[in-house]
Amino acid sequence: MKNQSSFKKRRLSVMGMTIGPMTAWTVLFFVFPLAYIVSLSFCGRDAYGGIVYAFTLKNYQTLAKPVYMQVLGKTLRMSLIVTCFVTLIAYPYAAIAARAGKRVQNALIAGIMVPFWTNALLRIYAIMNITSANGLINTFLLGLGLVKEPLQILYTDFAVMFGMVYTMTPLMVMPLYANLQKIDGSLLEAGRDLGASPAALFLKVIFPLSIPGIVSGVILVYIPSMFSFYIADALGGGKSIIIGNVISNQFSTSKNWPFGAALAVLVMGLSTLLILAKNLLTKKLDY
Amino acid sequence: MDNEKMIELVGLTKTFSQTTAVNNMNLDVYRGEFLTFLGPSGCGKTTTLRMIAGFEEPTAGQIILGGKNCEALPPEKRDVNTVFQNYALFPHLSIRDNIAFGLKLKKLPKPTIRDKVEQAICLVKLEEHVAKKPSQLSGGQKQRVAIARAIVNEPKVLLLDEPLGALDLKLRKEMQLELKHLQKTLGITFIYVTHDQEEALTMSDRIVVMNRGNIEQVGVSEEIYESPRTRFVADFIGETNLIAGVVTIKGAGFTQVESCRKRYSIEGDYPYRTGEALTICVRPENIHFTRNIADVGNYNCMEGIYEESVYVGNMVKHILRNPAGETITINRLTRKGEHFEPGQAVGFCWSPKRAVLVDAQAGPT
Repeated sequence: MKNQSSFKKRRLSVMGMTIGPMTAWTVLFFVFPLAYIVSLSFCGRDAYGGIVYAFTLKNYQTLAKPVYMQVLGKTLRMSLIVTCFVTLIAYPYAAIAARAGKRVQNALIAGIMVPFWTNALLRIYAIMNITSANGLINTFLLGLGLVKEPLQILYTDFAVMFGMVYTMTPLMVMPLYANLQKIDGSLLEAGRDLGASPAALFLKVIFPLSIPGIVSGVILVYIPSMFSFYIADALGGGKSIIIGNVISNQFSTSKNWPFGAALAVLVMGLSTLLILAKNLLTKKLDY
Repeated sequence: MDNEKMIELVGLTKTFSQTTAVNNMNLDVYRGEFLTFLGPSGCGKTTTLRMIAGFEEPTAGQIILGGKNCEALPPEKRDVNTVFQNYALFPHLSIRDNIAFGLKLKKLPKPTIRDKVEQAICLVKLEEHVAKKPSQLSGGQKQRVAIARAIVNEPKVLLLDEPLGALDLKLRKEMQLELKHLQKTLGITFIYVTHDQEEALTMSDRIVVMNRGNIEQVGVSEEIYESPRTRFVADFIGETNLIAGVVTIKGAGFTQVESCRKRYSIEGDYPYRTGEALTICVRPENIHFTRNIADVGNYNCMEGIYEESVYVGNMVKHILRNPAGETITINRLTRKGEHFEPGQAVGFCWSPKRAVLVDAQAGPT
């Protein structure tokens, strides 16, 4: 009896040592902030931007207003377009990298990873530089006489989406590359052997087997696209507003933390739904 | 098996940067035959198969399939199908869809596809598993699917690349017989690749023994086993005793060979000249013990020092060393009850009919 209890004690202390720090970390930096945001979204705000700790549903009533729903709709739409373009660019890139020789493979992966590791803001400023009225593209076009006035590229929805596609592409390439590379070469040979032309082989073997990679990539791209704000800030110049900007504004200039929290909870809810849908789909595709 | 040529390999050669995998190979494969490429790993057997399938391009030479040179044809246009070593089943498709894969690509009418697939499924006895995914099947079942998926297309030739390599011994033996029966039922030409000589002997109509990219010998199982033409074949197929010797007399219908300062007569006409070094090869089951070396009629006799015995169930392997230091293995039925002590001098003999002469080298180098 005594032995058993000392064993239990020892087990507890071992558990404390091993999973303790992780639990503390998670509680401190994940559970607590999340709970805080959720509870904040049910609080009120006084005239000077202070938080009034009293239960209210006002924030959620506000965000149901058409103006916010329109921004949300636009965000979802833009994220969808961005995800589509990212997929179209990333798929061939990943497919070539997956089947290329070792050296080409390393070069292609470095080509996508090195910019990815470079500070994102820095890259966005570079895009601003290139696309602005007296930037690289316009200087070039004006110099050639192709346009009379500088083109308005910067501060448009196009610029925002371009920046997002540029930033998000690595997030799609990596899971797709891992997935495509895993496809056994003998499956491709078997397909050819059974009479599949290269196109039929892609449609009937490679593409179906790469769906899990696409799904992972879509999640990795779509969710950050919904939340992104600095790209829209920098390249949209306040003209192209997506939900990320609105949330970030509530916490900065507008000083309406509870409403910002409610918006964040809404977007988090949407991404949770997406991830649940993804899990369901991958379970069905699990072979 | 008739005399119509299904495949002709003419001077087929494949070189990978430095090494020659297949060297100037000439071979005819006939309709309805079960032909096996047998050899150790790296002998070029799989490369040859992959060239026939169209996955590797020959460096030189031609592959003539059903009378047509198929040099320019990609794998999907060749009238051959392959059963892969690792099965290569499509993991995202059900067993039925795996089997129907080739027929659907041929755009056959749906009812035809359904009937053919049903037939193939019955043939490999997978009726209960048609709706499952490959990951839900055992190794043996996957193998059957791979076979069904290939034969359902009724190819001119079925190529099998060590298809039973991943199965356990018992299942492998069952599948060997099943495959053999299947081949006889369907009448399709099979080209089978294996490194397992017993498998080759069990299943094949003809065996092509390969070594370092060259054909060592082509023949039916009995020929390959009973009359190996090279030392490599003798050594690779089954167990054998190799005794070095030199030709002393080349007579009509026999050759006399000197070994360990004694002379031995071997029946048969061989192309070896007097004074040429060669190897006498005797199977362990063809050697008897003898008490009196002087009195054994026309049998060839030798004396050796007994080393050990190994009990293998129905047989006992007696291991001796002859005066030249070569290991001699003698397989005797256990019930004969022969017993010797290590270190004892033991006489043994074999019939001149039961030995063959092969070259002195261990294959071309």
